[in-house]
Amino acid sequence: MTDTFPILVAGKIVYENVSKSFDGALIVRNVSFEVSGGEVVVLLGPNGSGKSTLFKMTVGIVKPDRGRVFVNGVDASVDSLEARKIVGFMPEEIIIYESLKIEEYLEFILSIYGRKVDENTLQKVVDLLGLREHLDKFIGELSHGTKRKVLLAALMLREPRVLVLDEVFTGLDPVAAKLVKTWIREAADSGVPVLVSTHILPIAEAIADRVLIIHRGEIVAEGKPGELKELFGAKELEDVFLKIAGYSPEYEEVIKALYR
Amino acid sequence: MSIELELARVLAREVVYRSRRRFGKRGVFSLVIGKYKPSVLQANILGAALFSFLSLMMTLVLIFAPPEEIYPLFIGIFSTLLLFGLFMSLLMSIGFTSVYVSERLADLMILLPLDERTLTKVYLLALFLYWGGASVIFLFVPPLAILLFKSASPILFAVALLSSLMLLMFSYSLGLAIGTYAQLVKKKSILRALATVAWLVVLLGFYSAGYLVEYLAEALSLEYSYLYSLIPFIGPLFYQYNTIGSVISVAATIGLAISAYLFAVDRLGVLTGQLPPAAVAPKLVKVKPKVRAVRAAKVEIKSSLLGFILKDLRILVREPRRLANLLYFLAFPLIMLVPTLTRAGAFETGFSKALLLGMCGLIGGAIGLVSDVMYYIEGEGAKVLYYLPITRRKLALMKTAAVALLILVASTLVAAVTAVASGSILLSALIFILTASLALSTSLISSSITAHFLPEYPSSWTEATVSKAVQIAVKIVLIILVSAMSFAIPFAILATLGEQVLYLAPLIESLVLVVIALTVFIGLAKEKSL
Repeated sequence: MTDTFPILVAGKIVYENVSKSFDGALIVRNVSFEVSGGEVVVLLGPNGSGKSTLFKMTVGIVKPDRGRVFVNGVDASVDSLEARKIVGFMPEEIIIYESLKIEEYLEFILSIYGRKVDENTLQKVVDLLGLREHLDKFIGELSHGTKRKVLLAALMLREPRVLVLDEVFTGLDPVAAKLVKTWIREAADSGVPVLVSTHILPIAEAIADRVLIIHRGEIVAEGKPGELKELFGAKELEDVFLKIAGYSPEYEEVIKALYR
Repeated sequence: MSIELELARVLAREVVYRSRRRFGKRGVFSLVIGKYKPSVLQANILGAALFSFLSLMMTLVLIFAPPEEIYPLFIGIFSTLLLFGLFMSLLMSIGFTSVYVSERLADLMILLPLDERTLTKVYLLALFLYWGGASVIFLFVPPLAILLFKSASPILFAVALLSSLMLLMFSYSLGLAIGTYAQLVKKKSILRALATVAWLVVLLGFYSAGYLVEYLAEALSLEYSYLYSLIPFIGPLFYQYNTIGSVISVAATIGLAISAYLFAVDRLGVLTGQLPPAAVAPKLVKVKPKVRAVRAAKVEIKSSLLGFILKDLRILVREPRRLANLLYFLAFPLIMLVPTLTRAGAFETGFSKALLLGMCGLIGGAIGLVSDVMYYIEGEGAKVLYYLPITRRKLALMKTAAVALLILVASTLVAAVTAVASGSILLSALIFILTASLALSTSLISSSITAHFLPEYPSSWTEATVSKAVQIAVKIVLIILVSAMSFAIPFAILATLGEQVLYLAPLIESLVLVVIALTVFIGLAKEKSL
């Protein structure tokens, strides 16, 4: 397949001193980091820590109050149109046309991007994601996980030069999750910068070249999974996360007491 | 408050919320239904006042009628009210149930530790007390009260009361049963077509209620009273003309009402008890296990414009209510125009020709205002567009293009009727140009304004997305502009240059409005992403 959109700068996502507040509450505080081409960066953080806000900045849906976000050299808040051409974005919530069928949805998305797909690739993606048996159904009739697979199929067929995937593994069965992990790795190996968020920490550990942990809008830890574990004296990435998120063993007593 | 009443209140509130999220405000319908009111009184008082007033206006004549004329007058008026009551209660019941089903609210209800009987009771209480269903009763209160006041026949009072109660039971039950098929309507194209026709009837009934009432009052003259006595619900009223027929129709009325109620309870049972709502299928249909042939996926990549239009048309044909709305407003002006075109002397004088051009221009302009529907069909799916590289300008253009096909069909019909009526190909060609260009222009103006006012953050688009004030103002301004231009230009040409050059009027009008439309389009539909 050929690239439809020019790459202005070698694939890269850059957050430069970004801050954002909603209704007076500071959601993102002076965040700076980069995702280079060929790198998979996993952003971890508790609910409401600002991950989705940061992700949405890459397509200009949320504009930072301070700082800038670049995708392949394009300032996403200034030229969100160009940013949306470059970024393959998977929002956390399932945003899709429920009254279309799978092929109709794919046709719509690929037509908007002017992306031709060869027959062979289309059939492979449909088969790999287990969508063939659902082709005659309306998307609204599909399960949550299958809807996400439809979104994934559209992204896979589009082959964007930057990937930003918010909670992409939510609702996926183990087979689909394994496929997505392989796809992410393959995209990165071909030079695509990949920014992912997930609450499934074993998956994060498996795919991340680098992990960022965000808490209350600030990046509080950064490094390769092994480095973070060593730094925090933890066996698993989960332990690192729990320490940063302020998990206390006392919580377990409270929870256990509920059934006593 | 009992647990059933409290749950009914909560359920009605949820249905109202989901309904508004999905369809936005429902215009005049929202005055009576589809608006959350926290108490039974508040939920029904406006509808009760409105229905009482309408009914009173129709029945006042009974107060002044001499005793011997009360019976024939009463049965005509009451029959009309029964039909109106049937229409309103069906509308309320179908509306409530279809939201309940399509939003899968049964999934929430079955989680509660309540038996099926209680769930059914909760549902009926929500529909009747908190959705405004009880207000329909007030259609029948004034005539019944007048009967009592005039000390008319107790038999007439009894059969009227019986007919109205049975009719309410029947229509609410039938509406409920029909509403449970909302999910299937989405899946089956034949059911979608039927639903579209049904909605067209509803729209026709709602917007032409005055004509219908007048027509029915005339049609229900005593000439065929023998036959009317056999019609369920209405028939019992005609007991003086055909007692046996009325007795039969009393039995049929009660039978139908009970059958409908049992059917509705059964359908509700399917929703709340035996099957998950996603799998609701009518019991009457034999479900054969489908052996799906494995087939290759087919995706044809088109230009972004064509891809977008196809997506819009696909969604539109799967939304019977909105499709009917669009078809109604495309067809209604044509229906209005045909009598003008076909009357004698329509093309004889310069004055009549100028008048015709004015009317066609106005109709073209009015047809174009339907383009907003193409925004509302997006619903929750509109959020998808915020992640795509689409500018507001392109969106305005694509939405206009999506209705262009329908506009061209409507304009062709106007031109064809003109050609047949006038025998002039030139005139019909000019009228085609006039109608199509004005419709496309007002469509582009309306679409550009809507695109300008769309929210900046991913949101679903419904009738409530752009403020009602803006929508109404845009429509009024456009209608005034188009009316003024459509009539002023041909009559000015007629007065100054004469009838020979009257044919220039459509070309000038089209040119002027196209320029205005392009100016609004460039000025308001900006080259910026959603």
